[in-house]
Parts: sequence; C-alpha cells; structure tokens
Amino acid sequence: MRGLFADLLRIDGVKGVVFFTLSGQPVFQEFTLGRNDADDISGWFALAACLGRAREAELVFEKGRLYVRRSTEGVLLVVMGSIAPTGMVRLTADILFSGLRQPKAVRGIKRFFKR
Amino acid sequence: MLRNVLIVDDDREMLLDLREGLSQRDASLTVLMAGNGVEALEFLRSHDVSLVVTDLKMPLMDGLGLLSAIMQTYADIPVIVMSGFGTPEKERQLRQGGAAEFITKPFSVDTLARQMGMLLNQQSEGGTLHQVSTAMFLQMIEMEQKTCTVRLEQRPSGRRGILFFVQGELFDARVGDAFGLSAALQILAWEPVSLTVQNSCRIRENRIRKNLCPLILEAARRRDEKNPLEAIEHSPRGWALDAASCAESLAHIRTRIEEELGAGGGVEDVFEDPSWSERLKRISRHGEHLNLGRLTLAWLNRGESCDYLVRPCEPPVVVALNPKCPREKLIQLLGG
Repeated sequence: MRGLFADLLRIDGVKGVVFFTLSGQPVFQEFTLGRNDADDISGWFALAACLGRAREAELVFEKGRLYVRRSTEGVLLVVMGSIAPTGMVRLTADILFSGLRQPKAVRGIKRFFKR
Repeated sequence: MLRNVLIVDDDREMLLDLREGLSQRDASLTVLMAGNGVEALEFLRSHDVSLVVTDLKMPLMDGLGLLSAIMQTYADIPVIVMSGFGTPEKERQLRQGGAAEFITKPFSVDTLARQMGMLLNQQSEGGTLHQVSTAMFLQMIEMEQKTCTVRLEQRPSGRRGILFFVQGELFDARVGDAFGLSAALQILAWEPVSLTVQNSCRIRENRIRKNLCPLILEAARRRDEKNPLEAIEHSPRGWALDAASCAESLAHIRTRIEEELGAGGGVEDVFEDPSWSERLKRISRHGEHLNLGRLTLAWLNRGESCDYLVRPCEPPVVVALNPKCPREKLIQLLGG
C-alpha cells in the first residue's frame, strides 16, 4: 500500500498523506517525523467533508497547506509545509488516481492479446 | 437575518446585472447565481436559500423541471418565474405548478425587487424574535395549535433550519439537505436561536409523526452527548486575517489583481459572499484542531466552469477564476 503513495511522500515539503474511502473509512495514512496524528484520523475526514461538493481544494493555513482531492476512488489529503510545490503534488495525485482506477475487463478474443 | 436569493438563468450577462441591481437595493440579500436547473438544485442542497427566481428556457434542466423539483423537495421556498414569452395560459399553468409569481421579460430590476420583497416579507409576517429558547417557543406553538413555518438561526454559528407546523403538530423539518426526524432533532438542540414565523405552511405530509415534547427531550440528550468533532465545528473562533486585511475593500482587491495579472488574467469576478462564511469557519476550526493553524485562503474546484479562491474574512471575498488564471500567483497575492 505504501508504494502507491510513496511518490507523494517523497516530494519536498510533503509532511503526510491520508487516504479515505468516500464513506470515511481510513485506507492509508503516513506522516513524516514529528507528527503523530493517529488519534486525529477522523478529524482529517471531517475537514474534507466540510468542503462539500468540491472535487479538489488547496487550503492555506497559518502553519501549512492542505491539498484535498475527491474522486470516485476516495478522498486524498496531502499535508504540506508552507513552501511545498503544489503543482507537483497535483500532478502526482493525477497519476495516483489514474493508477487506482481498475482496468476495464476486455471481452472476446481481444482478451488474449490485451495487456 | 441575511437571506440568500438564487437566480437561475443561462444568460450570464442578465445574471450579473440582476445581482448588481438587487444587491444595491437590499444589502441584506446575497444573490447566488446558477446557469440551469441542475446547478440550481446543487445550490439548494448546499445553501440555505430563501427565494428562487428562474428563467423558463435553459439547458440541462429548464425552469419547469426546476419548479417541479423545488415543489417536491423545498416546497417552502417561493419561486418567481421569469419568461420572455408569457401568456395568461402559461402563467396559470405555472401558478398551478407552484410558482409564487410570474414576471414577463423585459422587466425593471425595481419590479422584480418589489415582488421579491413581498414574498420575503411573508416569511416573517408572524414576527421575528431574537435570543429565544427554542423549546419554550415551540411548545407555545403546539399549545396554540398554530399552522406556521418557523425559520430558525442558531447563534453564534449561523446555522439555519426550518420547522413546519400544522395545527400545532410538527409535520416536517429541514436543515441543509436533511429532512424529517433527523433534521428536527438537530434543530431542536439549538439554544438560543433567532427565528421568524410565517403564518402558513405548504407542507401537507406528516414526516415526523411524534409528539413535540419527547423530541425536545431527545434533542437535549443528544446535545449533551455531542460528539467532540461537532464541538470543534461549532466553537466560536475568529479569522486568521487581521482586521485591516478583512477591511480591505473589494475595489482595492480588484485593483491589486488587475495590476498583478493584467485585465485578461483569467479572473472572472470578485465579490463578497456571506454564504461561504460558515463553511470557512468550520474548515478553520478543523485546521486548528489538526495543528495547521487557522485558515488564511482556500482554492476550490467544484467542477464548474470556474474555480473559486476564497479569502476568509467577514464577509468572505470570493474570486471566480477560469482555468487560465495563474492560481499560485493569485494565492501569493491574496496572502496565502
């Protein structure tokens, strides 16, 4: 599971990644040193829920930034420092979500040649 | 109370003109805009709307479809229908379908403002009260067997809800997109409230079917055992921006953006919108709880034609951006 999120966690300035299902079940969470947010896991989802129907959001707080992305696969939150490259985080999130989508089953004879 | 009015038309120029004209005439109005019926229903789900003004001919969902959806789900919200092709027969059909008023294009903003004022005043025709105990007031309605619609606003959070009484019996409730018993229990837990009373009720189906007294007791029990996250959401805290930043005028913000990005920089509109306030406060409180500090700026993509950059102050300042706009530059400019 960590492998899926490793690219995000490697970006300079990214302090943590949390991923939930749309119903709020935590799937993955990891924070860099200095944070222990295991107890706050529902708080992250509650914050994302405040965004209503937003598909994507960048929230700038006094002590850091939060990038939130919602799709049919789930809700991704990336906790960043004040100077994290948000463009890179968005791009990596694009790649992550496209990887999470299940490939469509191929029917007929094509299934022998696909992949 | 501040009131949100939703105007629905696929003619964006018309929407902007109406918003400007109506906002100038009544400072207590916040004018929300939607381009078709589908967008309008999204707004109704996420905002507390007091009145809808809709055109008839629109893509995706037209005015008739919207009127029908509103009558099914938000029957308490009056709808004014505007059309360029009005006939007495059409007006009769629309009124039968639930429209409160019909206005033929072209019309002056004053005419529309008068009709809106009349309908909005009906919502408080039975009186307005502040700092009221919810339980005591509602028990009086039950005792007097009143038929009315009570609109409540919780202090200090600003959350709003509606209770529908028919001959003293609580028939239905609505808060956000919750209805019936669950909405009633949320509203009954609010103390104290400001409220307005309308001496009529358009709801005819009893969705609650319980006596008021046990509901009040249950709501009080739930309030006492409130979950800690909810407590965070409703704790009163200020904005991160200082008073001077909050006081920066819209004109000044527009000028700064134009100087930085030029006239074609991708900014579509800059406006104040109090309807964002509650949502931003909740986000800010969660940010503090999660050790991120208070919110200073938010960018949101809601899948609409433009994104929104919102500055949390009172009232929040919203910048509508198209995808060409250099977002990062604007975030830096506005204090992120």
